[in-house]
Amino acid sequence: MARFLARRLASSVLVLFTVSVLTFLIFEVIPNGNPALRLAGRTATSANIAAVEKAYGFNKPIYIQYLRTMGQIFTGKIVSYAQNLNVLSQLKQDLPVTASLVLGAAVLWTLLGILFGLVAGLNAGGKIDTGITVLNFVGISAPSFVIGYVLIYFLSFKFHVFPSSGYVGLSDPLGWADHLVMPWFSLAILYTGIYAQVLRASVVDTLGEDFVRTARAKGLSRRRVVIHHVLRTSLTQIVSLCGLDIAAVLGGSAIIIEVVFNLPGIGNYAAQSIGALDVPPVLVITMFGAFAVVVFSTIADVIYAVLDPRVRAGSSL
Amino acid sequence: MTALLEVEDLDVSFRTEEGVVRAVDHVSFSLQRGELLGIVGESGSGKSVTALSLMGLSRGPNASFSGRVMFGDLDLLTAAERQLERVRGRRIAMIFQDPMTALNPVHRVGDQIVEQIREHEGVSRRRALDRAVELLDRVGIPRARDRARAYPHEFSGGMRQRVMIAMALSCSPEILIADEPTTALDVTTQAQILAEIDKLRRDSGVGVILITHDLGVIADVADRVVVMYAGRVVEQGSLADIFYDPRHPYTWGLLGSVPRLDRARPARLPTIPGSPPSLLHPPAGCHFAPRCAWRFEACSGVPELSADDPEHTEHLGRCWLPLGLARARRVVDGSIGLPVAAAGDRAGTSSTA
Amino acid sequence: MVAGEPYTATSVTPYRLALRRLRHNYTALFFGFLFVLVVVICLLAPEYARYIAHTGPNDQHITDVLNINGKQVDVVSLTGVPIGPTWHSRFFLGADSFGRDLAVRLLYGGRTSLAIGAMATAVTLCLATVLGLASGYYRGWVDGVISRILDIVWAYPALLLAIAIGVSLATGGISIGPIVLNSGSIFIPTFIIGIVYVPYVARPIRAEVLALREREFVEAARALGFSNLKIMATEILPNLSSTIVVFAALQLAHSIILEAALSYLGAGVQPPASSWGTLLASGTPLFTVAPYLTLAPATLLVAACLGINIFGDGLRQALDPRGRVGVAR
Repeated sequence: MARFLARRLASSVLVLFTVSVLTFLIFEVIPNGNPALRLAGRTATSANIAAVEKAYGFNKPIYIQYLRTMGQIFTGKIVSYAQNLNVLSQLKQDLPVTASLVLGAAVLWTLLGILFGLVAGLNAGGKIDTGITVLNFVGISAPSFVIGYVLIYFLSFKFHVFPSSGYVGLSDPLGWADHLVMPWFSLAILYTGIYAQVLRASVVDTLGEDFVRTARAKGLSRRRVVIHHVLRTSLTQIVSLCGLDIAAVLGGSAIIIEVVFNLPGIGNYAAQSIGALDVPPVLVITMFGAFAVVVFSTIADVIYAVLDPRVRAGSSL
Repeated sequence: MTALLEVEDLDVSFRTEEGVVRAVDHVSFSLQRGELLGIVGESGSGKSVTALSLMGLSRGPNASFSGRVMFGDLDLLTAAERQLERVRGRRIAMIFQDPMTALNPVHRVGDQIVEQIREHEGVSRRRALDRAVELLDRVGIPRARDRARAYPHEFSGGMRQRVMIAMALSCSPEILIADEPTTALDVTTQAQILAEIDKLRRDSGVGVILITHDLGVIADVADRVVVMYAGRVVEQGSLADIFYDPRHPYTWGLLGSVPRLDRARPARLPTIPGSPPSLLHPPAGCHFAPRCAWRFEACSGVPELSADDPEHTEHLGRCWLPLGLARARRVVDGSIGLPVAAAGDRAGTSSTA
Repeated sequence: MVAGEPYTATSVTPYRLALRRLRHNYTALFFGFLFVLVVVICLLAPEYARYIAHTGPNDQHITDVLNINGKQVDVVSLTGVPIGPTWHSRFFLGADSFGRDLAVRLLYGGRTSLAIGAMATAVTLCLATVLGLASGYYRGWVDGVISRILDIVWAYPALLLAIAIGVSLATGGISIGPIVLNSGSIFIPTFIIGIVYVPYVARPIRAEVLALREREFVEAARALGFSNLKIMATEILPNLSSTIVVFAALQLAHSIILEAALSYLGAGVQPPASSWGTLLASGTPLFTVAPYLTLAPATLLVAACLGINIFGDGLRQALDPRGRVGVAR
């Protein structure tokens, strides 16, 4: 187990390093453009550009540039010239909002996805299954921001059930939840659909496995067979997905939902920066987004190894 | 003596994409206490479906059943799922062909036995574990207490099958159904497992239904034999009846196709020409007729399963051939078998629709 | 086949079997038809613009006045509120704040969205197949290198990576050797979307190739002296075809949605070109006064994706050799 962990961590570190290099390349080395101008932003003044050139060292060899950039980021000095803000401190401020959004939605979609997937899988081929499957597909096919607007239209605009925008901190738990219910559902619907489909397929597959037949032959109650044998096996797939999807949402749909519902989170910050073509925040957020994916995927792999002993024994997956 | 299990006219059909498949067609047999009944047939003969149906494990939205499976007062075929759950594992146990896939790979072996014990008997976890260890020891697994904490993939094939046997016997069932328990094992292990099953049967008096395609296995341990072909029983009787006085041409073919070490090598290994019929579009009349060298006009009607010899009323056969003719024709080249096929044996498929 | 004869097999290719199964899957067929319908009406955008709406996608009619059922209505009211759906040939779905015909813009935008989606899918499939084949077949260091690269690209959340590249290229475009793309070219979002999804398709393909290469027919081909390239092309690739086909359908839906998200955020299609994403971006600020500006592109987007998703799933079921026994859906 320890060896497995060590191997996994070593490969993660390598990936993280490569991610940092690649991000650096994307933003500063792509041909046809003045990187200093890019980093300084659309509204750059010549003073800004000069400052950028000094901080990032564009006339120096590439590896120096890379080190300078990383230095800027990790010592917290990286600054957005267009908005005159320290990127990292802004991120720190915005993190709780995004965390509330994403983690809350994750809990929601995991529970709902497992529930629907299990019911559909156990009734495979029947009407319940078809109904749930079509619902899943609607969930998958509707972009989250569309769902967001539809929810706002009906639940905020026409019938004043929830507030349509803004964020309230955890110090007021009811207000916090009140503002987050619609965003949570907007994010969760897509992944509920995905998880329900995945779990359904996994349940149907597992039901056909020999060991499930053995379990039934042992006279185990249906409930025990479903929970201890079928679900236990099918859940391992969901676990590895979950970690990755949280990271994917962090760097994806969360951005858009924060814009739609005007939640002052990292995603909203990213969106504003994109609109202004203000590069430093986008660079930092991109890199940390990828970091998050690597971290979460490592955690998911470790959990998977705990749940499935065959993984620990085997060498490669 | 009342039979332990009485199967009467069991009929099992499945609805598939391409039509209705009659997997089991009017199958009847009985199992006595302490006896080992062998069901022999090739793939697709319906033997596995029969076994699964005894415990209601083949039920599904596309399956239909008729007939009766009497276990004491209870008709297993129509029993409610709840009732069956109480029978399975406790009064009737089953072991399957492939022990690798039959055990749950993410649970420890000991826990899987404990699970069964605790489902049927309200004992504490520790007591159940002790019993599990004892069982593993009884089936010949060394260092049982340590091995109980191991996972299935850490055992060899033969050991895994022993674990399955231990699990099956954990609640002292009255019947053990073994579906091709040795097919996935090498010959040496096969012999060990069979010996194990036989020993346990003699020690505990459990009735065993052993399903196999291997006549050698049957000859080794069976008391009585049921021969199945394309969903129907074609012959059944005692071991001696089947091996020394076989009544049905298919049985002759099976016996004749076993390579003999005590004779000169034949030019070709004897086979039964042709292949089993499609159960979607079975032949009218006797299912074996298209491949039978001895078929005649009567064979276009389904023969009854009957005893031809008044002195052996337990020996039943499903063939139109009169007894004397059968006894004469079954000997080919000095031993029981089918006539060698003419040149151009189309064993298998042809390309015309 | 005559009952009673020994069973003889009729030769039916797996594709014909799949087609048969697909033909009976009415749900999949209906939704596939829905998708085709959306594609067709978008392709007919120029015809619609010329013969029905009598206006182009960028023609502004802010000061125009319409005659509807005898009443005179401003296309864009004095307070800046554009007209809603008239359900007539002109301004069928209404107008936007610049007085442009929404229905026309919707169809033209659809052409862009669908085109980008289709081309991006093609890019993804080509790259993923090549990479998956190479790394799965050759294994060794080739696999090591390719897998690492895929891992890296995969580590970036798709939207974020697409945004990053999109933003980076939006100021100034890109020129690599002979390839020059201006910042407004729609090939930029096309390639970005195409590349971003490569790991999601390449990895399953690699896994399948790894399994396929151990099969006996590959060993037989090698024994016959086939070169590696020939084996990959004639033995392995045909067995991948059903996987690739299913991925094509699913990736198309993903690509269309990613393009909408990218353009919505401003990192995808740039004006004056329009797509469903840009339409959504311009429509959402006016959501409370003119909801149809958002709902129209949203509906077509969902319809197209739903259609292709469900059809793709029906395709997957039809091609899956482990078909379910029982009454098909």
